[in-house]
Amino acid sequence: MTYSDAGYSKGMIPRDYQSRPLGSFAARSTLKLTPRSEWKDRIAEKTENQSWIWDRCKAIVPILDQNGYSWCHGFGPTGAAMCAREMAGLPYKELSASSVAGPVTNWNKDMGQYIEADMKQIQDVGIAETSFVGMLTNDRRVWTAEAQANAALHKMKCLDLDTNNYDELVTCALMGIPTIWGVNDWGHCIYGGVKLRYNTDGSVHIMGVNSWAATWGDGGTMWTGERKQHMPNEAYALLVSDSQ
Amino acid sequence: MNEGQKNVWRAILLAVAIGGIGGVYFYTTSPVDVGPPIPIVDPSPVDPPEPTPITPTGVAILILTDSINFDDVNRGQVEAIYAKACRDWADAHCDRDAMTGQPEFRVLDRQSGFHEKDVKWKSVVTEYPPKRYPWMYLSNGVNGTQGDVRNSVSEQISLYKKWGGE
Repeated sequence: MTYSDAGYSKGMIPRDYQSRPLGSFAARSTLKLTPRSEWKDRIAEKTENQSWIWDRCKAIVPILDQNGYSWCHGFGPTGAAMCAREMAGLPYKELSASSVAGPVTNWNKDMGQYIEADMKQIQDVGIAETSFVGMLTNDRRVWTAEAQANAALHKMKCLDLDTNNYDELVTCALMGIPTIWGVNDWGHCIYGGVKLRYNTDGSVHIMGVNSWAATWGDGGTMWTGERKQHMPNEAYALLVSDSQ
Repeated sequence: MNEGQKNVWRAILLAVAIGGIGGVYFYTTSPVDVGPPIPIVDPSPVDPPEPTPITPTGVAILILTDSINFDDVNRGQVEAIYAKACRDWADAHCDRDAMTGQPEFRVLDRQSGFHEKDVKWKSVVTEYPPKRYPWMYLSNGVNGTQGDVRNSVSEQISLYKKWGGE
């Protein structure tokens, strides 16, 4: 099933880097990039050690389902947030993508948004647990003071990653940092970098995790790569800032 | 001793003095100098001073990374933090939080700071300010260690077992 077949409207509005350049709303990452000459060995090493993000998270973090809402800009970061928490050793909590996307769209389920808006929401307001705000709801009445207080417990700091920089995405994956992707050829936001694959032709592919239910793609996931379809154009990362 | 012999000795003494001063200068200004070594992580056979335990009965581990300045992290340390063998050891041996049941094992990022409610972990970092990252603290309820994350999975596991048991 393709994006168009699914009947989803485009939920991600591409970022205007002219008016909102890198580092304008969050810290710019200064990761030292892993040399390409090391990729093959590093991938083999991480596969042997089972140290990929997906090795740890696939049995714990659910594949989300935005079910026709145009809120991929909230679902991608929320999935990444749950993975980041798991990598940090925090207790599993099901976090609500609607608690992110709802407030930044005025609870309009058909409204797309810049990913940055959702990232700022997570950074400044936080993400509520689904016991306070359902995973998929556009009922603004759930955004109570209690829900907002719960969200504040799950604020995360954002890192602004370079645009169209495959080396940085691969480096993050090797470092155990999940990334949020804006994919312009898809008009879509997902998260990924949870695993890498070295191919026989020498190319390296990177795994993305969609929010169109586990029935989509390969159990809800997909592979892409440099100059491949759905190669990310925008990228962000989240840093865990609580230990509860 | 004639004047020529005296001059030879003067030259030798001068060379030794300059060498000494130069050595001190290099020691104190070398760009790779990161301050005095953290004695606790030195893999010497002498047991280091004991960190204050934060769990009275069991093992607690805190690892602090620095995502913005990851330059000093080598690949072995990344594996030592995230490899299944290391995480499985932590899951099996770390004390459990009374409320959540979660193992007392955290990998946090210094750039994100600590939540105001994170008194326990924050106090560890206050008491033992990390000299460089990734940094780790391990307490077994009686004593423990703190300092650099090891450079390989096997070294990290050995450290865990030394202080946390088989």
